[in-house]
Amino acid sequence: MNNLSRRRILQLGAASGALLASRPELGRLAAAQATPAAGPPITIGLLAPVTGVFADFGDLMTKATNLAVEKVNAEGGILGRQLSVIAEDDQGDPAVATERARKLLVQDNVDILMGTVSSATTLAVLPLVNEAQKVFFYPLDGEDKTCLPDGSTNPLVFGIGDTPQQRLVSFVPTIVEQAGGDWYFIGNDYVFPRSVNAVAIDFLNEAGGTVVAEEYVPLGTSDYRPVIDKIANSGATVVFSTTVGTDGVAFTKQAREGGLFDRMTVTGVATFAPEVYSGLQGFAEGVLTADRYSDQIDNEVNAEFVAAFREAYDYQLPIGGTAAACYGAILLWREAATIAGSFDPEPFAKACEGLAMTLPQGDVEIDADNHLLTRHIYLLRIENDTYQIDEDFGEITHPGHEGCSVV
Amino acid sequence: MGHLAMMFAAVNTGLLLKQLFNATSAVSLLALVAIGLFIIFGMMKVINMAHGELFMLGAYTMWWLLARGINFWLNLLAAALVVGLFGVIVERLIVQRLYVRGDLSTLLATFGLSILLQRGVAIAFGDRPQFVTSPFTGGPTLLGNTYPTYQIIATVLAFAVIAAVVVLFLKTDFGLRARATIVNPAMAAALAVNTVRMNALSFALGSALAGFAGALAAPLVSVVPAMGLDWVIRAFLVVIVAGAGSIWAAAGGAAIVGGWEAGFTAIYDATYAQITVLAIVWALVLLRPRGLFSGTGRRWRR
Amino acid sequence: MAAVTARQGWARVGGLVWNARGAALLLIGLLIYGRLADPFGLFIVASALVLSLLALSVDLQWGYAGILNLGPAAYLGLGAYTYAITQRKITAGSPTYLAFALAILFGIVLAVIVAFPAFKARTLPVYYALITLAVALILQRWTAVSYDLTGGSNGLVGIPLPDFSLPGLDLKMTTAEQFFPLASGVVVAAYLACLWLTRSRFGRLLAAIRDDEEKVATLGYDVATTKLIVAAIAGALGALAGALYAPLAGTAHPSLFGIAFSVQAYVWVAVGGQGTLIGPILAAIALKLLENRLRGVSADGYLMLLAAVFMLVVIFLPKGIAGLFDAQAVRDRFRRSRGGPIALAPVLERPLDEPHG
Repeated sequence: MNNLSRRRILQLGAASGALLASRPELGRLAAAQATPAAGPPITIGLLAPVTGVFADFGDLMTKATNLAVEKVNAEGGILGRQLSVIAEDDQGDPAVATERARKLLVQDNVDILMGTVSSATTLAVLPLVNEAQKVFFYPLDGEDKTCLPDGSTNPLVFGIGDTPQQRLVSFVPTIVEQAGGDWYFIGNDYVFPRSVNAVAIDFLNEAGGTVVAEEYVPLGTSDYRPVIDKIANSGATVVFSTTVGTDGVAFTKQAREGGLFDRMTVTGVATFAPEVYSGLQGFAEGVLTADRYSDQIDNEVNAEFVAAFREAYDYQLPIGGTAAACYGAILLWREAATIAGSFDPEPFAKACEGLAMTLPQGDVEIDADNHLLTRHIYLLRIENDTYQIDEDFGEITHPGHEGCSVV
Repeated sequence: MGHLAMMFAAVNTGLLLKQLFNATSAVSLLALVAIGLFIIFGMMKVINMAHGELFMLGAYTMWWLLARGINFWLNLLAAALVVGLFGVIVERLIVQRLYVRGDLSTLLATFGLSILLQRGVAIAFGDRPQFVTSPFTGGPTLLGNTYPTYQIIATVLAFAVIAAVVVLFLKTDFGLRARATIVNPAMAAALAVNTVRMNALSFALGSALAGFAGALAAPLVSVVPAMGLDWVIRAFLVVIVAGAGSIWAAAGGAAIVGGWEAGFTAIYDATYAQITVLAIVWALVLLRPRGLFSGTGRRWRR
Repeated sequence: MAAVTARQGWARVGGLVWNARGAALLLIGLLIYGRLADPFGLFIVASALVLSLLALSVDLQWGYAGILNLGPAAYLGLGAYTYAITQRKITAGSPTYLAFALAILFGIVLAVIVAFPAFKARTLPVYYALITLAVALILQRWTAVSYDLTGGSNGLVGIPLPDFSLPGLDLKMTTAEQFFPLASGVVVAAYLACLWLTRSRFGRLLAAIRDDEEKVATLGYDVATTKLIVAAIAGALGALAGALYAPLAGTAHPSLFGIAFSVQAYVWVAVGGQGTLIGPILAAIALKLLENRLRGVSADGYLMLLAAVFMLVVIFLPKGIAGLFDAQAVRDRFRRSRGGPIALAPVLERPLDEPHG
């Protein structure tokens, strides 16, 4: 943890305890619950790809959102109003996403919009959100997308995933220490792996490591063997994979069978996400990865969330950060709306800024400057179908709008 | 130049051998898929756009039966059988009706069928990758590289099945009739070859090969509803390269397409391997509009 | 040409009336809808209209000339990216005339590059179909990795709405709803242009080529050039669709080259009736509205439904669903070998002594 301090732009948000203590709104929340239902339900537009290549993510998002809405409604709703969800399937396709987002924003006139999985769909939806002047939360990890083209903060957009900067700042030096500094980067050929690798390479150089090679393979490739053997014979000590979804599963499987795991440390992000564990299973045994969430996190909110999720959906696989983010978002909204006294975009967004609370993913704070979460990042070890927490890297803040992909 | 020199200096024999093995393994599976497509195309002059989905159905048959505890090797046969039977139904219900029109209706109808099958499987089992364990783990090591046992066996099996198909076509009575139908359907019919039956049989055989290939590949790749696309596109390219030539042409086409991709990926970059292979095939079609090993009937007579 | 008999004359007049009626009804329907619909409804129908241009391009090739282009979305993507890149890098903030002109030009150029060598070399139609599929795929893959020019997999967003301002005349669009009248106008114009084209001598030549390419070539017509012209016009239509779709959706993305848009165009043509022109447009509107209703239920289910309908139409209704309602009129016009429907008409049904051209 001490190696963090040398990076001045990343600060540990140690002040969260103080913030929690200084909130009289909690009392007001109880008061609001006591008053009877006032007004029509608050509508949440959920843009989740329940079909297509991101279907597993969209499915988790939908389930977690519904679970949180049920919970909040059972506890009296928000400001005495019940919540209702209007879900649309964006299929992970930007053309579909803009059409569906327009439907939610224009026709359904939702109070708040949440969703999108791929960067491309998030970016495609942003101009519509700006036009409609609605609050928008995106739950996925990836580059910062809360800025405006001029570099200032978009007042209505919040990113509640994590950024590559947050996830990798402690992780890269840790792996260098454990497994050496000669890294081979392999990813699918699109924006997310390239931007993650760019960040990882920065941290790798800082930690004194070197890049053996950086290679990208088209999405939808089923045969990774030629690449895997190239890696195996490259002299690298670590392979860092950002192959995603089905491709990541194929890569892991073939790397295991081709003996890559015996020759070097295999790690990465996205490839080993809990969301794709159903495909990975035993092939990922023993892998170390960094993530923003594990269902093993030890706090009361998470215990309640995990228990409710497993029971409601008879779900035995590891639960991913996507689900936790959506569940957490609704708890954040309840707080923010209670503070703001309304769900109107402007005061509501203002109330979100600086909001700190304990969510399933641990203690978080919405950074008032860049609208991203200051949050814990965990070093996870895949063992016996669970993501065990090897180390808590602590709360990490994303530096300003570094690497913002809104142009 | 410096870059190239470095590349050659860096060549290590172990890696080279392993990459040759990878290419061979990729070509063997591709050839299996392509030969099924090729027999149907050669025999009936129709392209089955749903061929990739037949491959996918084979893989899902393997997964489904394996999850119910049925023996892996039995499942290979079961997949071939199930998909072959499915092929018979498709031939009866779709291809036979459209065949008489002598145009591209079959291509369009099977295009629709491919989407129907892919999304149907997605609704039934989801888009997430399914898990097919290979019957072996690990494998022998040579010059520092592991050669997975299952990959070796799958490659050998694929070549064995291809050899069996070649023998079927060149040495048996069925093969004689089939080749006659390919070269000149009207003459074959006049000589008492039941061409309608030959068409149905070849469609079933082509489908069974695709199903077998899917089941064989299932432990090697990710089993998802859209898995067929990657294979069928390359199989189309093989058929284009091969033309309606001899059964050897299909194997040659698979070697060119699969070998180029694996080789280019090993040396340079996978994205451009795919783009260049498409460009090469395009150029070939313009230079040899009827296929590289283009089909005069003589080849079919050996 | 044989002398025009009275029956042929009436059939021709009947055909024109039928088609003019179609255009007039379409226009009136759109005018009424424009008055009644909510903003989102206008948006949906506007995108149906824009994408129906792609269906028209498929119809021209498949329904009228018997050319099977399995990757029409290549032109949709090309037009979209041309518009987006031109408007971002060359004419930012100025009227969008150049963006539209370049899109159409590139559409024609791509069509010629793909089709010219293939038609000259007399490539087998099946190979041509697969090659066009491959071209769309190459473009999709290449766009997804050309980060500097196309934004890679993230695509390009924030694409400005069309601006037809002239000096002293402000014709800049400000909301997506304003797309509706533009799209209506463009589609009706494109429809009338296609109608004129297919009813001309050229259209009759196309029908003849579709029915028997060899015979037409023997008669001394330049088959390759004729098919090339159709492919070029279709390319222009497809690229225009893309150039309109990019600002309407607000994004240009590699999936515009994808198989989903190509399939959609074919389904619209098949359901509307290939070789009817008005059919694909009406099918586009109807199916897009239906899709908007069903998508919330099951996107996969909707896609399956489309695929099933498409298969059934190809197998059982070679004249399209519209052919059911107009079987006799369609058949009459087709029998006279005028730029008519039924690309997939059974070969055996065709009269042997049919005069062509």
